[in-house]
Amino acid sequence: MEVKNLATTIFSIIPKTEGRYMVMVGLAIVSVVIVMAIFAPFIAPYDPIKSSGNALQPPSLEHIMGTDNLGRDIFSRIVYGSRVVLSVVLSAAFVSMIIGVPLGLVSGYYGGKLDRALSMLMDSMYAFPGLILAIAIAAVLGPSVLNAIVAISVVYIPTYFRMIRGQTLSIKAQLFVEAAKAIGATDSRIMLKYIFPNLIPTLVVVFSLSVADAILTEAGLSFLGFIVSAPTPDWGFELASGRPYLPAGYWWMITFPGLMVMLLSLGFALIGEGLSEIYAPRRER
Amino acid sequence: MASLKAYIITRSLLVIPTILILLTIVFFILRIIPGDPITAMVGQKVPPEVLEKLRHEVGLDKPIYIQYIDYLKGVFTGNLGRSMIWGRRPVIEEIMDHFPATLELTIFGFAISVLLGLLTGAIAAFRRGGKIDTSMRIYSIVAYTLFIPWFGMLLQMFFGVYLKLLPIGGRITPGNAPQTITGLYVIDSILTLNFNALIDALSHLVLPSLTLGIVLSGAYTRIVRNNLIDVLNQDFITAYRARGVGEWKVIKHAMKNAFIPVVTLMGLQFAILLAGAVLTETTFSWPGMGTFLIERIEYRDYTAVQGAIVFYAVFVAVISLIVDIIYALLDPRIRY
Repeated sequence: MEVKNLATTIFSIIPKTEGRYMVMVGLAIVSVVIVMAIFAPFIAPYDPIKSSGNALQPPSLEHIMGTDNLGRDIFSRIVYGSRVVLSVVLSAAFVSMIIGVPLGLVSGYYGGKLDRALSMLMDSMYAFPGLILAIAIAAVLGPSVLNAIVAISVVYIPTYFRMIRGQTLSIKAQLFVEAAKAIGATDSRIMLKYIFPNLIPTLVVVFSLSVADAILTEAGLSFLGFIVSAPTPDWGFELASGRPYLPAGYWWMITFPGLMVMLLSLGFALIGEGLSEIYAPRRER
Repeated sequence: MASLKAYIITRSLLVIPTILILLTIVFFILRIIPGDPITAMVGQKVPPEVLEKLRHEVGLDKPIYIQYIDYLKGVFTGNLGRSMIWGRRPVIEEIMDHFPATLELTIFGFAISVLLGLLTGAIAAFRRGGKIDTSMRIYSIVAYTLFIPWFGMLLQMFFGVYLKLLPIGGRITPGNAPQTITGLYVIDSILTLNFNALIDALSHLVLPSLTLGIVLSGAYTRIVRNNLIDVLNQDFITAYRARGVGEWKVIKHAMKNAFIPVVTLMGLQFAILLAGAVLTETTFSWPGMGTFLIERIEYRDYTAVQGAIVFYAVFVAVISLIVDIIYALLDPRIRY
C-alpha cells in the first residue's frame, strides 16, 4: 500500500511529457539490475564460478541462458556480473563528479587565467578518445577493478567539468546572484547556496548520460581484459570468453551478456534523455 | 583581417598548444603515475640488470624534465623509439603498417554513420510527431547504446556463420592483398585494377564498417532531425513553398542549411569513432592501430604503446583542425 502510494506520488511529480515515459522505463531497467546485483546469491540459481552441467548447452529450462564452455550457468554469471559493472561504473562516476564539479564551479565562477588553463586542459582531454585514454591508464596501472575505476573516472572528469562550468557561467550572470553579492554574500556562499542548487538538474542529466556511456567503456575495458580475470564474471569479459566459440555457432555465450550491457546503458540513457526533455521540453513543432 | 586565410592560419597555429597539452597528458599518464612503467609492464620476473638496461634505453633513468624534453623532441622529429619485441623495428614504421587499416575502417564506418544519420534524421523530420518520428528517436538512442563487440559478433553470427555470406574477420584473404601504394586496400586494388582483391577487401569491410557505422549513426539521426525541423520552420522555406518551388527542391535547400551542425558533430564524433574502431578491430581481428595497441600492451612493449598513444593524440588534434577549417568554409560567419 505504502509502496504503491510512493510510486504514484513520484509518478505525479514528473510532468506529463514524452520524457516521463522514458524516465519510467529507464528507472525500471536500472532498478532491475540493481536488485540483481544486491540480491545476486538469492537470484542466481547456480554457483557462477562452478560447473553446473554439461558444457555449451543451449538455453533450456534448467539453464535459461544455457551453459558456457566450462559448463557454468550463464544466467548465474550474468547476475553476479552485474556487481562488477555497477560497482565500477558508479564508483567511477562518483569520483569524476567529486573532482569535476568543484573544478567546473570554481573555474566558471572566478574566470580568469585559472579558468582558461583548466578549460584548455579539460577540452584537450575531452577531445581524446575516452576508451583509448582508459586503456592507456589501465595498461600502466595493470588490470584490476580498482584501476579500472581510476581509469574510467579520469575519462569522465572533463564531461562534468564542461557542463558545470557552462551552467555556472550562465547562472552567475542572473539577477539573484548579483543581489546576493550586493547584500555582501561571500564567494563561497554564493557558489554553494546560490549557484550549486541550480546546477543539480543539469548534474542529474549529465550523471545519467555519462554513466550510460561509462557502462560501454567499462564493458569495452573488460572485453579487452583490463578489469577482471577468469573466473570472475563480468559482462564485457564474458563476451571475450564466448568469442572463440562463435564460429561453431554457440550463440548464447555472447548474446545474453551483450544484451545486458546494452539494456543497462539504455536504462541510464533513457533516464538522462527523459529528464533533459522534462527540464527543457522540445518546442511544439 | 577577418578573412578565411587569416582564420585558417590562426587555427593552424592553435593546433600546437593542443598537441602539446595532449602530449603532456600522455607523458604524465605513462611516466609520472606511481611506480615506473617498465617495472609495471615488464614485471618483477626480469633480472634487475635487464630492467636497468631497458630503463636506460628508454631514458627512464634521466631526470624527469630531461625525459620530457627528449620525449617532445622525439615526437616532433617523428622518432618514437624502437619497439621492444620482435626485430625491434622503429615504432613509427610499425604504426605506419597498421594505420592504413584503421583509416580504411574509420572512413567506411564514418560514411555509413553519416548516410544513415542523414536518412533516418530526414525521415523523422519530414514525418515529425508521428510513429515514424518516435521510432527514429528510439533508434537514435538504442544505436548509441549498442555494445560494439556484441553487435559486431551478432552480425558475424548472422551473416558469417549462419548465412555464410561474408567473412567474419581479417582485412583480406591471406595472399590476396593488392600491391601497396596507399595502404588502403580498396584504393590500392582500384589503382592496380585488381578487381579480385577489390571484391575481397570490400567483403571483409562490410561487417566491421556496418558495426561502427550503425553504432555512431544515432547521434546524427537526432541532430539532423532537430536542425531540419528548425530550418523547415524558417521564413525562407515558407517563401519557397509560397512561390511554388517543388518539394524536392525545398528539401535540398533545407538539407543544405541543416548541414552545418552536422559538420560540428562530425568533429565531436571523431573521438568516439576512434575509440569505437579499437573495439571493432578487436572484434573483427582487423590489423589496425587498435589491435596493435592492445597486442603491444599484452606483450609489454612499452615504446610501442607510448608511440601508439602519441600517434592517436596527434591524429585527434589534426582532425579537429581539419573539421574547423571545413566548418569555416561552410559558414562565412566563423572568423577570428
